[in-house]
Amino acid sequence: MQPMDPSQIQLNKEGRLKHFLTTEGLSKEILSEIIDTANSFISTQERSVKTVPLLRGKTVVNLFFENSTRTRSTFELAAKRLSANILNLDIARSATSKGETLMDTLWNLESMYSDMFVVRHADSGAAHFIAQHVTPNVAVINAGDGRHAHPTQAMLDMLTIHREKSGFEHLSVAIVGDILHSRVARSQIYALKTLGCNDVRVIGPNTLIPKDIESLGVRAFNNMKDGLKGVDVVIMLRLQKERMQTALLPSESEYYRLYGLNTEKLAYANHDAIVMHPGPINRGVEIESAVADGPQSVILKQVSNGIPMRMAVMAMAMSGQNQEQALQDQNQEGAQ
Amino acid sequence: MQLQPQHRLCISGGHVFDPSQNLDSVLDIFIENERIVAIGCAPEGFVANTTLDASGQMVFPGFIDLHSFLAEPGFNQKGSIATETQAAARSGFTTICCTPNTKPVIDSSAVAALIQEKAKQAGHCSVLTLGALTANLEGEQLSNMSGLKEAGCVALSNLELPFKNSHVIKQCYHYAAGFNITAIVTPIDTALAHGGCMHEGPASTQMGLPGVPVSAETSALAQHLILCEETGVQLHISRISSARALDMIIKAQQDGLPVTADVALGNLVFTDESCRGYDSLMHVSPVYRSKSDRLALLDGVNKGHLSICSNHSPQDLAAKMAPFSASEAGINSLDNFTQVLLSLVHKQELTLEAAIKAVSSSPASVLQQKLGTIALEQRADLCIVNLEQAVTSESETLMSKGRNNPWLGTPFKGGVTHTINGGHIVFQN
Amino acid sequence: MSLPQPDQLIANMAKALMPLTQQDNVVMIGIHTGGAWVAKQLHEQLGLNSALGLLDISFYRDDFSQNGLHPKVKGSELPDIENKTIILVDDVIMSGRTIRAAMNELFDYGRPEKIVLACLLDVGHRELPIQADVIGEKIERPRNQRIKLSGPTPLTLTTVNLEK
Repeated sequence: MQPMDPSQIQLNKEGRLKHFLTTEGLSKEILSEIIDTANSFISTQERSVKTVPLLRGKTVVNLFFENSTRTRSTFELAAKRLSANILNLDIARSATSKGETLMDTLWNLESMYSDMFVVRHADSGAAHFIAQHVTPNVAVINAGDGRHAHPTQAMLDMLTIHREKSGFEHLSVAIVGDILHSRVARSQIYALKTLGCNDVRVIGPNTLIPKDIESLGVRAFNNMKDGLKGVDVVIMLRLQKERMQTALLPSESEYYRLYGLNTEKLAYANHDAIVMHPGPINRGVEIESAVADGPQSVILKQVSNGIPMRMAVMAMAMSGQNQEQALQDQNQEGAQ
Repeated sequence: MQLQPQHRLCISGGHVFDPSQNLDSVLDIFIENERIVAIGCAPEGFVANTTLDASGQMVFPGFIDLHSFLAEPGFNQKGSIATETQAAARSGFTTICCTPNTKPVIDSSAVAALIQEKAKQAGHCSVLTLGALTANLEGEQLSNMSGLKEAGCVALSNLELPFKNSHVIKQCYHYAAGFNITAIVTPIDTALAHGGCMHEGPASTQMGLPGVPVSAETSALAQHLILCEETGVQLHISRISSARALDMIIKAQQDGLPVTADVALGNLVFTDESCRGYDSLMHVSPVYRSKSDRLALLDGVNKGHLSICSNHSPQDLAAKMAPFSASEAGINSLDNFTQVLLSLVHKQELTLEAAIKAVSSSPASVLQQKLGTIALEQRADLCIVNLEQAVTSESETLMSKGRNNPWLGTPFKGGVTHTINGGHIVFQN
Repeated sequence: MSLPQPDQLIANMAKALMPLTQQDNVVMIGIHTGGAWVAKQLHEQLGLNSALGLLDISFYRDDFSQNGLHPKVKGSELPDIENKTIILVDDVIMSGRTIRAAMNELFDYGRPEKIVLACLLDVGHRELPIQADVIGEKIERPRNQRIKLSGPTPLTLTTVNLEK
């Protein structure tokens, strides 16, 4: 029995995207194509009529097993700007077995002729599971699964870096904070490495850096001075306040003192370094307001890049899924 | 009482292989009723009712499994004593140990008796019950240990379930030692495991799944070994997963501690890398660890330190149709146990001698049962195996109710052709 | 059958379009990619002052379900079109679907006063009621033949036979 390569189920027989589950294992060409396509959608977002008819008549289901109004809204808006019909399903976790809830929901949705699922789930591998087991003709977009991946967030960050720094080859990028629980960090690391960025660093206390992180091709640092030295991009991660309850961190104040990004710490980075944050920001916990709102911050640009990026992956995955179905239909006709 | 009619079976021309008896040659075996009465030459006047031609095949002692979850009573949708023992018999098992995590738990003589009765009715395989070491397996109160022993439990186990505190462990061992009861545990420090569902390492980090560090196993193991030393209990460490744990057990044995150990077959085959792709069939407990752990465990079997158990855990479809961490742990490993075991021999990862010992004489000595050998006056528990036969399992051919089998569609070389339990042919193919 | 020289056709088209350019609200927009090449030459020959627009209709195609998204979407770059007279330029007009998509997209950018369509070649086989106002040349071709414009310099026309 061969373990299935998780990245390969994202591609159709022509090698084009049909699901978007993870940035891991996708080629540089595909990641660049995603960035280019998103770039083209930016021009449509600057006009008075922001809608394009690309997904007209398609049904997109926002399948959120974990609450996130913010992410859900950006997908909803992206789907609407592609002229798709959108159905929002917030499935709070019920008392029954997690697995059963998921299966039941999916079997119900399968019979509703959906074309695309946007999935947010607390379990790593959930979007992958859905793409693999449940719905052969539906494009699945991962909107965050457990600690595993949040590829659309990572790609909108890549789009932002690409627009600000026009390339990845010679960049040094530092990701700061709770790497252990961060699906965003994992997706960013894979994307950055594939796009040619050779110097990716993670910065945080040992308790927030997962074991064997070096296996992802990054360097780990425990202090900001060494970690930020000479970097071009600083990506701050959100620190979930509930982490303080467990034995991961001593206190908010100690965390802020060590890793909170303020003007002094930012000075370790290159003078033209940009500061990013996936939001929502905990001001005074991981970042100081003067930096978050300062000239080096591109946090608001990240937000506006979110819609065109999500439009791009939705359009590309739908297109790849259509192409695969067309190929299957042809083969069936050929067989008859 | 009615005398049973004489039943005489001859297994002729097979290559009899039992390392514990230094048997390794083509020999005939003669069986009368449930005992072996001669090996080599027929006893005077022996006329067989049945003769099995085993030429070109191997004759092994019937296999013994130290850890099978039979799912009955209490988990009808996952398995039953009849189906799971049938799956065991097809893999050459003549004796399996049923784990106490049934519903109700095997912490009373009534449940133990019920299981033994049902197994007898099914008639595929002898079932020995493992009683619960603590009441309801809750890790707080001692179970009725002596009563469970009298009810036929061959050992008492707390599985991988947590004890309330270390004092309870010590008391269990202390009490068990006084009645010459073997205690079984799978060492896991639940706090260190911290909800993990796979080995903590590069793969878990990359997949974003919470990992179980090796220290979760070794720190618990250290505690069990120290309390074993203090109480003198006969202790069996079930299903170890790491090289480090193996080292600790070997060291303890060298120090003279009454400790034995086993490893689950799956941990000799798969590693944490097998979890990539989030295949829920790779979600097991104890977890599959690194490649170096796997190689060390194979070495431990080859050197005779470890028995091999099936860690059979049948699951219904819904239990596995879920994202990795949300799925239930465990695989159906009885249906193709022997093919998988022999594949390790074919790949020269295990010697045939070590592989057979690890599922026959070695588990028999853990259980202190006179089983697992081919010898005069021994119970005639045997299996006949064609080492070259090509076998592929499909979902429809599984005998266990568990569809959670990771080897479906994988071609193997080596199939059980007959299983003989107490002189009776209980499986043939 | 030999194909005409694009440069000659463009010169003819420029002549035909000249009267329009007397107005001051004229904007020229080429459809990516062939139309944009033709538009660039026309734009120069007519000496238009307003910026040349580029229209990429990838997001507006009606064959998305069958053919998917073009892998190299360029994105449109349009000047202000509100109340303007637009000279929309394409290389080859056939079914009319490209022009339909182009007009849909234009209206998402604003409301032009007037749209004039100029095409290098008209090969017939129309599927929609759309006609060009200015044509370089009209050529009849069987359905399984396409005429392809290569460029940008020099512009050349070639015949491509489709399979089946």
